[in-house]
Amino acid sequence: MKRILVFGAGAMGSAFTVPCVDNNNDVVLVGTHLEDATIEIIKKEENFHKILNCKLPKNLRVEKFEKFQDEIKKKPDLIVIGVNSKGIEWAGKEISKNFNSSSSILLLTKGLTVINNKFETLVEKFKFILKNNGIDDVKVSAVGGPCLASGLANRIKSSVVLTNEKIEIVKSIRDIISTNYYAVECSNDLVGVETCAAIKNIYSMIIGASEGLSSSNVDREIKSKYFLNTAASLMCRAISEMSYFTKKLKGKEETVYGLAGLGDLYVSSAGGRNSLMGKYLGQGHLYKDAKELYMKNITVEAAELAFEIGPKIFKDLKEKEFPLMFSILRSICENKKLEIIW
Amino acid sequence: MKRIIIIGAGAMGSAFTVPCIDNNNYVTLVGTHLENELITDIKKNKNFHPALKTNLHPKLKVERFENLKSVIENGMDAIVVGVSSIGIKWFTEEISKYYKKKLPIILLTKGLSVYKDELITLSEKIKILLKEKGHSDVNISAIKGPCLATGLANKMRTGTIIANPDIKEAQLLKKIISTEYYSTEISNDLEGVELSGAIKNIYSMLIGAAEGLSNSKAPIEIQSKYYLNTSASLIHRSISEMVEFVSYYGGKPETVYGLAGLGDLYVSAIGGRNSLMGKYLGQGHLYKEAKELYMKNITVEGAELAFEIGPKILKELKEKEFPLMFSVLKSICENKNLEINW
Repeated sequence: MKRILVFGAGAMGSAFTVPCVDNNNDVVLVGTHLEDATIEIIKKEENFHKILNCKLPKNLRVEKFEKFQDEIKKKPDLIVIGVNSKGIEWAGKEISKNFNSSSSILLLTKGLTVINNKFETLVEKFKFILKNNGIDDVKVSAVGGPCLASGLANRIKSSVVLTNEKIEIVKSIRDIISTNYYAVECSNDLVGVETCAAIKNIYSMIIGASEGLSSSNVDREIKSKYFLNTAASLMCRAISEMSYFTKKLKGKEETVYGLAGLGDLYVSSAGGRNSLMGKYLGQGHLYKDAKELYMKNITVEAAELAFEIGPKIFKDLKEKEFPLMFSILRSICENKKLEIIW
Repeated sequence: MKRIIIIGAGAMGSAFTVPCIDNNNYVTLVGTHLENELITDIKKNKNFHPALKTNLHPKLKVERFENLKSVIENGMDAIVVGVSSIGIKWFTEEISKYYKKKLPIILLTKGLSVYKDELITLSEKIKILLKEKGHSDVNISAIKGPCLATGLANKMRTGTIIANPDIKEAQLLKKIISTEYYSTEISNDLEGVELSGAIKNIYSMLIGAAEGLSNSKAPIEIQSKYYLNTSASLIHRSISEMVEFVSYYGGKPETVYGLAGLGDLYVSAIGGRNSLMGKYLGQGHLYKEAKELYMKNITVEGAELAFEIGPKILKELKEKEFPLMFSVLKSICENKNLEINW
């Protein structure tokens, strides 16, 4: 039995507690300073989580942010970061206050960012933040793969891949969190997994757009009935571009064909907000119009990533080599009509 | 302009006439000896195809099987195989009467066969049968990829792959049949393309079963709401197994990641009869019972392939290396409950 602290009571952080508890660990879910109300409701409703629309395990302890430092001081074996990417800086600072180097850190938050004109993974960024707060030599791992939070919370058979450049670190995490419904693979290709986890959001938009892109001159009814040929082709083109992109960033090609690439791309294209935005773009809406009209207060991760890495990609990469990526980035960063060459 | 003869007026053969004609070829669709009524119907209704529910091009010539000889005597630059896999033997016998050295045969049919205890592709089967009739210089290409016939007939943007061991032959066909909505890739991996195109029918059953396999203890409405984690994992595991399978029988791994493998698997897993049968199996029905109850007169290609190659595969391969394939084959050939290890 290990001690696990999950920080952030959103959908993914909360769902992640389920296999942790089922695997007989001592697990505490601690909300951020913005989640006091959420935590109170969870406690009052006997661990029922509203967004996940199901009960978290009875044995799960749930605490408000005010208890965070006390929990950190207990030297958990594993600290799981479930805050969103905007909260990463803040979370790093809070953890640093009473951090003990025996704790291993696992980031559920995924992403790619640009620091000093270089692409960096969120793991790198997080290490950087910790370093600025005086914490050196930390084990920070990440997770990728097709795992919708609501599915995991309902103990639907799921598979993920844990990654750290030192594979022994993730193997020991695997041993404490995998269950008969939660299969965990391990990879030392941290860059590849993080890159895939980030850019699949962009590519899932193009697959979401396939209905509109399937033909330029037939009516909508025909398109929505028969667009699958187009979607399937775009899936292949997306995977081959992702593999090219990942290699450019020094990740491994096989990672793209695995859970973090192909698996996660599939799940994000089948449902989710990125592919929904893609659908609107495919129908011919401009990004700004679609956002305003249909998704005003909804976060579209892929669009945020596009704004973050778009300018650098336009400068560094060739459109000929990444035609789909360029199509999407143009439609978002430059508010142009989404078009592809067939 | 080339003279193209398509044999078999089913959905796929008929839909394939559409890009052929749009690319300014002289195209004749010839029904099999079992399709006389269908051909009369199509002719009477101004080239309206009842299965595709759409009008074929007015320039398309449609003929009954009895007129094959005179059609061929008018000239033939390529002959397209649009019959079902069961009809391959019949097709080859008929065409052996007219075959001339190096005449391009284009194979649309998907499937595999066992001949003298060897697993062979359909192009190999045609070659063997033609050789028995004295033809040794045979030129066969296969066209595979995610192409639902109804989509193609409606000119949805579609991508396929043309394979021939001699890449120049594939290149030639590409020129003859590609249009602005029908894009074609070329490959010299005929073996890999045919193997992928066939076995994806087996794996699409498994992905179709994802819902039922996702959590046997959860109520059906939870399964059907949240099963995507499971299906995404299974897509990834299927692709990995397909790579092993295709490599074992002499194809290239990269073919599996392309249109003939991943692309076609994607389309079949989302819609289609194989994945529907898979759904029933996932729910816990035995194959025989599901066939009788729900799909009595419907051809399930994946199941037919399982009966054709199952005994050979179960004998020749190791379950440990192909766990998913074995699960499906056992559920069909041995009428066992479909189960997978997570």
